[in-house]
Amino acid sequence: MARGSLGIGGKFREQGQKEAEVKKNVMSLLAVVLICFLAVIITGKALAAGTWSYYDLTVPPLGATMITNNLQKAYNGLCAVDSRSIGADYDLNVYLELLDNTVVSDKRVINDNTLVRINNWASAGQTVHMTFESGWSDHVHIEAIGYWSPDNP
Amino acid sequence: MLKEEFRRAFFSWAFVLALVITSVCFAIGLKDYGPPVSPFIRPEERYLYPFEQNAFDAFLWAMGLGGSFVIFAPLIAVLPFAASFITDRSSGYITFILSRTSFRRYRTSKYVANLLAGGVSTSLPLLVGYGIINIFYKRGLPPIPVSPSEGWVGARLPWVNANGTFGYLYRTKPDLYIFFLIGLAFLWGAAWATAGLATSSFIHNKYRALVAPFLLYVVVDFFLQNIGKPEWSPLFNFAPVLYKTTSPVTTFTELGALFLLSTLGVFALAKKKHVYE
Repeated sequence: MARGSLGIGGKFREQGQKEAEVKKNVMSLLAVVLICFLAVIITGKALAAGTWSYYDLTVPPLGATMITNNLQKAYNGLCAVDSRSIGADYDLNVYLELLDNTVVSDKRVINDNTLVRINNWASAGQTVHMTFESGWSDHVHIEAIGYWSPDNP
Repeated sequence: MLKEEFRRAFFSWAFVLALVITSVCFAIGLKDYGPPVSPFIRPEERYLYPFEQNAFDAFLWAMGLGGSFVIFAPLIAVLPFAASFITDRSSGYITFILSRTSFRRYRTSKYVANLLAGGVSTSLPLLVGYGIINIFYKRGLPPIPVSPSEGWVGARLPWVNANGTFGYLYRTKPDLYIFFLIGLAFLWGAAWATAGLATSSFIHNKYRALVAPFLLYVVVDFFLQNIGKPEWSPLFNFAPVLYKTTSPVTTFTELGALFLLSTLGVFALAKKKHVYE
């Protein structure tokens, strides 16, 4: 009797352990799926918001301009400039232009370590570039280094 | 005598022309800044950026950042009365006036009238312009971003403090900061008008006398910017908001030196013999 009851108990215990193991595996799988799902969403959002493009350009003096590379806008809305450095403590104006040099945003004044997000009229799919402009009163060439995006990363 | 010189300085076409040039330069700068409501923000998003276009930034843009006024400032300052030693001689007015008063009184009256006319011509349109801007533009500044990664949104001038001399007043007391800039424009105009008067006491051609301070201004500015000392440039002395490292020391030392030297020049160079002959 005692041996038989022990046998039934052992079977139940074994079955319970198996069930717990399956449950654990299912939970692990679910966790992995959830993590992958979240990763896809986050990466997708980041890609959808736009990516940064590096610029290193020298703006001529006396109100002259210099443009960055052209990029296609992915979404309507803000564009951005993350200015890391501007030569010799000068300020520069920065604004967004279409490929045909139509101005589609207000000017912003930027300096070292300035991150600006700029309202603009450019639509998704349009090719744009960022234009850097020196002041009328600046007599020297001014180097600007940083990142820009046609969207809002 | 002083009253007469004031009347000649302030009720003249040259003074009106100086005011008109200042106003036009200011208006061009304001046009570059844009209207009270930005045309580049979609109408449904305008409520998000109420101070993107504001009165304080509009003034700073029209006065300095927008361009042309700072370039022509020395011409504007000397235009009303700085060449009057020359015009008085060529018109024969000096013979008439010296028969009624002493040369010393004549020179002192001219010095004071010219100083005020120069200061008023560079500052009065700014004061009036600021008044007009305040009627049409919103009086407020966009918020400072909470974290650096957030970035400035809806801010034409992404500044916690403005550049240069007394720039810390920009956010805390913007009106005071702008009145400081207008006051500085007055002092600057007065100092450069005095420099023009000193020049006119030894240059006997009216046009050369008017252009000489402007040439000095351009050459000194070009030289200082190219040797890497822009904070001492007379241009950034007029509008310290245009350059980051201007300070009360650079602004007032240079202005004070110019004013003292010019005053000395007027009283040392403008001898009766020089002016009369």
